Amino acid sequence: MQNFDTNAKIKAVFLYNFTRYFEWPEGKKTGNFIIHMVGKNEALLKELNKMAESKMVGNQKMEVINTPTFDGKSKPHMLFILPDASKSLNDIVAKMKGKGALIIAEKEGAAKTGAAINFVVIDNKQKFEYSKTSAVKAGLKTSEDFKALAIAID
Amino acid sequence: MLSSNAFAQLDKLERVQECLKAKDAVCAKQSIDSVFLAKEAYTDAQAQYMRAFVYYELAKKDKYNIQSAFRDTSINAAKISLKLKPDAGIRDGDLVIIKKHSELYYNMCIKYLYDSLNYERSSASYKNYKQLYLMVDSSFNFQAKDIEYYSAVGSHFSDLFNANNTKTEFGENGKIALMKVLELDPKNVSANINLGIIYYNQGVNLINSMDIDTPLDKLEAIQDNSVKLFKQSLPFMTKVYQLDPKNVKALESLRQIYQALNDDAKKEEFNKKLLDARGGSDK
Repeated sequence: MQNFDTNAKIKAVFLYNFTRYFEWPEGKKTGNFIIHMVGKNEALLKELNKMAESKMVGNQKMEVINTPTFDGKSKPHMLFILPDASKSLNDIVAKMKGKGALIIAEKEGAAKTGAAINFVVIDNKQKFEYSKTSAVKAGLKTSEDFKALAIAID
Repeated sequence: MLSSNAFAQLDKLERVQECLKAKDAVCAKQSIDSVFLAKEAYTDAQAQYMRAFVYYELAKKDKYNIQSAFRDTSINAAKISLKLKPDAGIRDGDLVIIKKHSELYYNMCIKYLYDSLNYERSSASYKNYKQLYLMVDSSFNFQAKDIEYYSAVGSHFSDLFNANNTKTEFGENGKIALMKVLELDPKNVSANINLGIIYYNQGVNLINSMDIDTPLDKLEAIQDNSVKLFKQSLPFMTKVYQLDPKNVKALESLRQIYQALNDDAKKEEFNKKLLDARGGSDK
């Protein structure tokens, strides 16, 4: 039996897709495109690093950071709060307001409490909830096409 | 009284026997072929038996070649001889020849499977084995032999598919053979495990092989298909677990399948059972 974490690969594909549907503020269009993963998921980290080696976001190189907690120093474009770090979600949302970071979580109700995107499982498949309000508050521009692909919260 | 023709035929059959005693197959073939220049030979059970015997000897050199004109001639001659209702001695001789051909076909089906990976020929050889063996023992129950053969096919192709997941035809061959095993023996642990693994691995392959820039609508379709395959894998592993709740392979597999199905509660349940089965160790 293959020892392969299918969920990690699927999430990595989702994350790469998210880079296509959002526009980050001008100040974040130079330098590396930073994906900061808070919490522990080795399989996902491996997939994201593989993605960063082969893909770009526009003309920005991708850089993956993984820490157990978030101190706000990394200035990420995407901030993925994993379930084991989700207790700090509210604090992180408050800290990152208007700073041009797409906050992604994987916790029941997270899209209603500040995360722009929240992974959920429906019919054994990974899907995502989307809060346009949270994305706008974070300083991001989005397209209506994206809303159609998500479970829209607002 | 025998006619002069009949005397001549007897002489030729004796000549065949002399050639066989001398282990001269070419001479035996020439002699038996000359016997069959006469029309009467075709309705003579003994002549047909001799022909079957000579061509059996000649077919030995074609051992693992499924297409052997010598073998076909030998089998046909033995069949005709039997139809002519010969005496017990010749009948037994015909059956011995047919049984030997049958055994050779069985060996051939295994050889085609493992050596040249030619499932078509392996399967044709197995069918020939069964057809011929039924002539030797019309009441023979092939169930155990079918299970043995299809288990060998199933596990061989399943191993090959698991080693190289791009060879999808290996997975499909494995599935068909293992399904046959389960039709005959639904509680067969090895067939259930191998089938469960094939379905699971097919689901994993769909995800593993997708590009990182797969669009979201396509990702949805891939997830649909992989979930179907993971769900198809479940009943086989569950069956093994029901038969043997401490089966480590089944417990490991169920843990992985539920993880792939995003069912954390079930994944954790089988993780605990796996730890118990291993006596508390996570290795």
